[in-house]
Amino acid sequence: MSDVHTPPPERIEPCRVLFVDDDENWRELVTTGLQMRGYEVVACETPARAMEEAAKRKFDVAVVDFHMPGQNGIQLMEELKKADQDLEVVLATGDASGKPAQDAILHGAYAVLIKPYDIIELEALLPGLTEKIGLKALVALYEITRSVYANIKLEDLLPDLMVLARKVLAADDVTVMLLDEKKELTVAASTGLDPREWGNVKVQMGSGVAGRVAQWRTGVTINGPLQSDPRFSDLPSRQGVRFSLVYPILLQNDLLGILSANRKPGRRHFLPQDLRHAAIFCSMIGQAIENAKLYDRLYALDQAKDDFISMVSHDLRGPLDAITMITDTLARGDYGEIRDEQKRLVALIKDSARHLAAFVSNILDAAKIRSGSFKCVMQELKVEDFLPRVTQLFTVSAATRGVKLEQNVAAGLGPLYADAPKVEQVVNNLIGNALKFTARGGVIRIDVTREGDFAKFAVQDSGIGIPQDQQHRLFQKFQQVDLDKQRQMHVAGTGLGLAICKTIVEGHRGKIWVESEPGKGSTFLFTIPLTGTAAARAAAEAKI
Amino acid sequence: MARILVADDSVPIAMLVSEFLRMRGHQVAVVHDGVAASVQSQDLQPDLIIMDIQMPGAYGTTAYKTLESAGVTAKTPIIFMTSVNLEQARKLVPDTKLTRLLAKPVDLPLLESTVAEMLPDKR
Repeated sequence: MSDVHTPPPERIEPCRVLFVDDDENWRELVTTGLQMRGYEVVACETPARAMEEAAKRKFDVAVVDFHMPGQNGIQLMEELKKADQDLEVVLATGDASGKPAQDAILHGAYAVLIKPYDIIELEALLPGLTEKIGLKALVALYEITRSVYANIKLEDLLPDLMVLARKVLAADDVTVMLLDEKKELTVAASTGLDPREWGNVKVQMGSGVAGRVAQWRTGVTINGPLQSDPRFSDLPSRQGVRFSLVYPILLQNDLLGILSANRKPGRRHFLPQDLRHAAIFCSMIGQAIENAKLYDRLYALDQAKDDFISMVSHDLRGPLDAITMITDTLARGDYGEIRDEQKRLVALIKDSARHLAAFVSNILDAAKIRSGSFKCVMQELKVEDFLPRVTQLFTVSAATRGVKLEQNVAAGLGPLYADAPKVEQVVNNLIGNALKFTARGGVIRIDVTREGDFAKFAVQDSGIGIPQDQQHRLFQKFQQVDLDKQRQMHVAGTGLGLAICKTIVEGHRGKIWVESEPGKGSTFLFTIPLTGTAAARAAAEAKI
Repeated sequence: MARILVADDSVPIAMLVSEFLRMRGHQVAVVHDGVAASVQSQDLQPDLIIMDIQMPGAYGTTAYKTLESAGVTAKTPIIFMTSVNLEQARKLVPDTKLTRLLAKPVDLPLLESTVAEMLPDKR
């Protein structure tokens, strides 16, 4: 009793040759010569017979005489290749001039033999042929690699893999079975089975051919009936299928499933090189499955992160709003008149709360921008609806610092096409910055005017101003912002804010810039499209 | 002087708003969730409700929906306080003469004038 893991001796099928030549003696000579060397030869006298034979079974190579009555070799070659794209054709010609040879190669002949040729010359061509077939399979494998890394979702990937597997393994049908949570093999994709049946097929580890391959973790080829294979002789015989290749899909040391390929009668046996190709293919599938699982986890994590951001943002607003409202109430004197020094402290509390709220907004936005989920949700926004409210947030702190806040909105300015909270955030950031750098007695002016398709916002302060050479760094893409360095500069404290303002404004297809001179204060300007303009339409298509 | 129900799940904000209104002569009751808001508005029959728009109501719905199913919203003016931006908030509740929206942090003097506007005969 032989070891169940030892396959029966591989019956390597000889290379199958279709030999077409109208010269009877030449036919006899070559056929005998090739057969003696172990090749399977089918010899034909005419192109018509050749086409008949080619229809009956698959050949590896056709050796065709160039000059035949009725049809020349090139025409026959084209017909044969049309019927079987994988067939390689060798053309034989008695014309040593070179022209027929050129023609032949141009039309896709694998090689040209000059008659009379020695059988050895023909034989010398044949291993190269098998290699070429192998090469084609490798090209298909390369295509798989590309597809594996292009497709992330397993359900999109598997069908493509099945098609490629059929090509690589020259199979009539291919099935991939994967282990489910119950450690049973179920069909994940199949070219031969109706998709509605897939869920019904369940194979236990160790049972049937698939189950045994899964258990042994070794690939097998079955090139005859199951009964004559000591590894599977106890199994019931299968109908229809002729030759099979079953290979385990492993990832590192874990078994993920199996790949099963079948060839119908009339096809060749599975060869050791097919097992090698299956090995490569299955490692690709393993990798693809892993990638798909990682991607799913990544997607879930990304969602969880977004949910967390929403939750944090929501939960923080309550207490921050409470702080602002309470400090306003104190400052108003509702609970007793408070002295100026006390009012100043109260204003500082409110400032801190507002600063915190803006900071949290910026952090959350920065996270969103980084993850690519920062979106501008546009709507019609009237300037008079949001601007007073934003400036009102600063009235107490401005008053405490002795800074005047003025605003002017041009008459007849239509509504903006904008993401309201984000535009508010920009204004908030700019006024906040202006306040930081404007001394007692100064003025902050907010002007909104129309400029073409846009509303132009200008936040002007009477602060220290910004030197020319530092202006370009203000809006730096936040990945490059060096917070420590910024703290040292006189424009310290702008931190993330301006970079995010830039992202927001550009997300609206607007522009943001600064006009400033040391000692003369600064004006920060930005544009936002007005509804119904071409700029608004451009903003609608904008992607950050 | 009006009878007002204040509903906000933020305890400090609810306290602040209710004291502010009491100081100005109104009678104020305070609750902290949508179910309590629904119960109290049916019991007390307030002249006005001031509530946070995002406060949860019964069984995972919003407080507004809870009040709506209790029939309160059909006859009682409501001032909504909202942390989300006004445009988005307008989508959550109908825009009728019985509703107003104020953004948080609420400017209390503005709240006072809105109350006066909605209850002209109860100054």
